[in-house]
Amino acid sequence: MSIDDKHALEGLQKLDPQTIGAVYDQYFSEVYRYVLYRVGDQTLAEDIASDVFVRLLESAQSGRTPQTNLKGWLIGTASHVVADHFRKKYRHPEEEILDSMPDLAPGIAAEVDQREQNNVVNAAYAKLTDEQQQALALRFGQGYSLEETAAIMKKNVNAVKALQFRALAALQREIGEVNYE
Amino acid sequence: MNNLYDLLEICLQELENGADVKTVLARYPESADELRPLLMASIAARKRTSAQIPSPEAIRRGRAKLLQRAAEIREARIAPRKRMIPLFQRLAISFTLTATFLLSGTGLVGASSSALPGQKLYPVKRGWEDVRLLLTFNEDKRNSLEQEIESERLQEVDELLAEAEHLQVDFFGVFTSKDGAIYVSNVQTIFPVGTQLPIEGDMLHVAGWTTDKGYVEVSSFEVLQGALISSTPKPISTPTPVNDEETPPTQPIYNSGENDGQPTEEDTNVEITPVPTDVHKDDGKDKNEKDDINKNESESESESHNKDEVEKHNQSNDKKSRESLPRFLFCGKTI
Repeated sequence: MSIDDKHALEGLQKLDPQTIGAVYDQYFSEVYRYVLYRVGDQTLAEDIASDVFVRLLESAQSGRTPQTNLKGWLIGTASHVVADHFRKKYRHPEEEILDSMPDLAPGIAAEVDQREQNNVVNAAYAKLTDEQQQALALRFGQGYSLEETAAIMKKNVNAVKALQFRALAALQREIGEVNYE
Repeated sequence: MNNLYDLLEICLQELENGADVKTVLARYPESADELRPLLMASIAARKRTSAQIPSPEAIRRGRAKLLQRAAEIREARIAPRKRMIPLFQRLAISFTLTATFLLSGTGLVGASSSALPGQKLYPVKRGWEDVRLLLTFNEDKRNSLEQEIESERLQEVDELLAEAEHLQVDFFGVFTSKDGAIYVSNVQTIFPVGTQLPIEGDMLHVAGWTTDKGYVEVSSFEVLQGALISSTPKPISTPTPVNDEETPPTQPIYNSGENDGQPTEEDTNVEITPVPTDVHKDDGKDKNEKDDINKNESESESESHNKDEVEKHNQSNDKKSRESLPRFLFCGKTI
């Protein structure tokens, strides 16, 4: 854990508003981006991301401080919260994810095609396992390295290599033959 | 197979560094057929989201939520909540109120659950909250019920602002400021100019008026610091007794937070532009005069005079006085 993280954790334990605000400002966008990639709904992503920080605060109070670095802890917790959300959603299905998925890459030309492609990819992504989704979100949504991804997923690098291979193969099977070049 | 995993990773890194699929695959012709669909899928996965950033509003909401939670934890740590009403009296009051509600019909409570300040069923809603608090003896459950009620107050203020109602409100929340605007939890507020503003993260008890401009004009507030909670929010200016919903109290000049609550020379000239900028522009002149009067009064008259007026105001038989006096909220203190 870096010195900055230790300092931040001390501030969180002391409930120092400035430290709390600084930690939030530093990591919120990153956590939000990860959650948005996973759930595909901006409002839900905002709610889950802000819940993650409340959990961090509560965790720091009860002495269950992050064992790795703060960013890793936040993304890992976000992943658990997302998994919980999907578990609840499967038990009580409400609406299709695709309906609320924003046009994530709005282009001026070929907008309709882009939207269609997004829908196909989103539907394919939703069919992957939780671990496969997590690996793709970290590697391609967040742009994390193999090592960072492995640390957050608490796996070794080789396991992540295999996981990303299977995740991409599964995604391609679901998508079918589409040229994204 | 291990080699293929490694090859894929090498190809992915090359793609990330700007190479195109054809060039990358040309380097590994023997595995090209297997790698191509995977690289295509990786491009799709990367395109799935462009650099998405949360909206400023979302960032502010999340920040306020976090600081509110911090303030709640801090407050629970510093001041163990004390019951102001002895157990026997609580039981007696609970019994009486419960009987009243039951006799008045069970549908009444349900119907009042979405009532807003100013509506006929609103006193029923607040009364029922008091009953629930009185009947909750478990400390943890009581704390969570108090938090639920505080959230309900904030929700009501939100709805009144959405409906552009002009009504007196009071609520609890965390003081935050962002980009020159002041918020108490999620509610945008403006404070009278010259007010010593609280510090970021302070838990406040705020009394004020909703406006049709999407914010609350604060007429009085109190910083809640555990055991130091006083019985009445600190009045900022001499309030005017409320006889008519359409008539706001004496309007002080409002502070957007840009001068950090420090009085400036401009304060006396009423040229300070609050945030939002069009506050009271219609009655700017009147406001000047009123402000001068307020200033003179507050300087020349003792603080007890203000308190007397607040007390008189609170004790008036106006039905809205029920709304201006949050009872049993926060730390179990009668406020």
